[in-house]
Amino acid sequence: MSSLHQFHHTARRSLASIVVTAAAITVNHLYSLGPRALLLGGVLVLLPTALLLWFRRTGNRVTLVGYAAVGAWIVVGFGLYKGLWLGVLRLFVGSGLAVVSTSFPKPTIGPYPFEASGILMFVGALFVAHFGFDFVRAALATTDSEPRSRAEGTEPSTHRGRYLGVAGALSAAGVVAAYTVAARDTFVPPANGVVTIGVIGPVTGPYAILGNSFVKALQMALDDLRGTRYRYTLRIEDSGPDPAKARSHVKKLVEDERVDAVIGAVSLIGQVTKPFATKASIPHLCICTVATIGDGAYNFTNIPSPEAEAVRWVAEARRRGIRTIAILQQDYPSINNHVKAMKTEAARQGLRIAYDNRYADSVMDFRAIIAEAKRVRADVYYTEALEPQLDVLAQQLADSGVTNIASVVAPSLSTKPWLFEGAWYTDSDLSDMAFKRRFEAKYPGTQFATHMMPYAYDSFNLIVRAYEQGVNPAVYLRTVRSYVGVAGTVTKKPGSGNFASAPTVWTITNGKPALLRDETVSRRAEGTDR
Amino acid sequence: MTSRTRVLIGWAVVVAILLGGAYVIVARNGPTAGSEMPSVSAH
Repeated sequence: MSSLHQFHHTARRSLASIVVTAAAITVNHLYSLGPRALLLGGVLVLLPTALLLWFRRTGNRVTLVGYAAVGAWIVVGFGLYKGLWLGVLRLFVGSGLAVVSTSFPKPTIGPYPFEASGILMFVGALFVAHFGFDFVRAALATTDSEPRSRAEGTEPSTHRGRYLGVAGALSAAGVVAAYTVAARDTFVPPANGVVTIGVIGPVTGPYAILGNSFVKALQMALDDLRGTRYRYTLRIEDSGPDPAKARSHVKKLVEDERVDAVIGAVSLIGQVTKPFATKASIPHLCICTVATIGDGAYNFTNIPSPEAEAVRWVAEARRRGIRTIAILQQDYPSINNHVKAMKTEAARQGLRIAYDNRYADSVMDFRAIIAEAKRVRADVYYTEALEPQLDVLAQQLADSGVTNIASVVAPSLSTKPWLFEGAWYTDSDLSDMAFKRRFEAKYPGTQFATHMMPYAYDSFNLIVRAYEQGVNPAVYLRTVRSYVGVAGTVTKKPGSGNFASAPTVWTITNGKPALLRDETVSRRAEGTDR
Repeated sequence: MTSRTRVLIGWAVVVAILLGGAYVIVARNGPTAGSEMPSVSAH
């Protein structure tokens, strides 16, 4: 084969490998860049094509260097770093290591087209490297006054394949070993002996009641610490109620101030915090109900699940002889999850949904909805909302004479719980009522929101326990199967990111939340139990 | 069978194993929503 023929042959193969790999890169980056990925793909195809044509016309070696540089960008940046390290190794080696040991996080897995295109980026880059090398050698041969013998297509030695195989196997083993070392979460003693725990939640806006009592529960947990090896501090950041605006607050806490762990409140904010915690390899305990936030790697939820609430709620409804339910609920992720789980469990137990209304959080006049719901004469009105709609709805229900109200959690978040007098609802169990009394004595102006407080308190102590034992806190959370705290016994299945606990039934009695079991005992003592 | 054909078949098998393995892993552990995607930027 002449050197000119060799030049054209290798150029075609090199460019073809770049075009195919650029296609995989484009598909892969659609997930992170959106339509801008097409621009990236266009650059990756057009730039080397232009440089190749220019080199063919002029023989200018600068254009050849440019072509090789684009090839190196594809090979190193997209093929080896993103395709191999962040793609193939994460997917296969990372998943395998997580099965073997809790010292390794379960990797985040994307949709199949994303993962497949990552693999093809890596494989394609190997061809780009191989054909690019052949092309550059052939190109240099055509411009050299004395063509090199290898560029003329000299057959490789019989040992070449064997050497390449051995080198490839050793390289693969080395890369897997390096990934294993890099992926392992090890304990790093805190700088200056101080562990900074980031606290992120909405302490202003409609979630202020939840957010403030959440922060106070963590402060109480901090104040209760005695004789610890390390010193612990809280770095409190108000996320505000808007997830879009919360992003900058989470970024500030995790990336700029590099806190050692995060405890967060409310699902909407937890969803924002999750990728930041994963990227920083720090544990994030979310006191929230959206189970997908808990990936079991760095993110965990710690609160009764909607399914657990539903089982308890329906059991109580059946105990009370309820057969039909009217639902009046605000459109909000955690409320939607509660209602969805309740409907599933109700259907399983033969309870009928007679009326179902999910209203937007802008609705403040519920009178038409209530009138419509009353027409079906359901046995109970399931109502769930956040403030300020919650109390407006409660007032309008009271005004229209509706008293048979039940809920999940909501009445404990009300600023006017007396509007729910007689209502029953499921909420977190509080095995240690002294905790609530201590809280109310310590923070007399702060409402105790049962739904989150004991879990916030216990979550803080879980992180403290990890540091005091000299264990990486994320590894500790992956490993722990159960703990006993102020929220009672909480369990977690292997590999799960959700701590599970059993809720209980509360009532609003004398304008205040009270445990049903305490009320029952009290009524029996008074001889008024029916 | 030429060595070139053997190499091509070898590559096809490797890619098929990788893509098939990825399919199994995604099916077992993958996201149910696009929001679960790992976020990467163009370097």
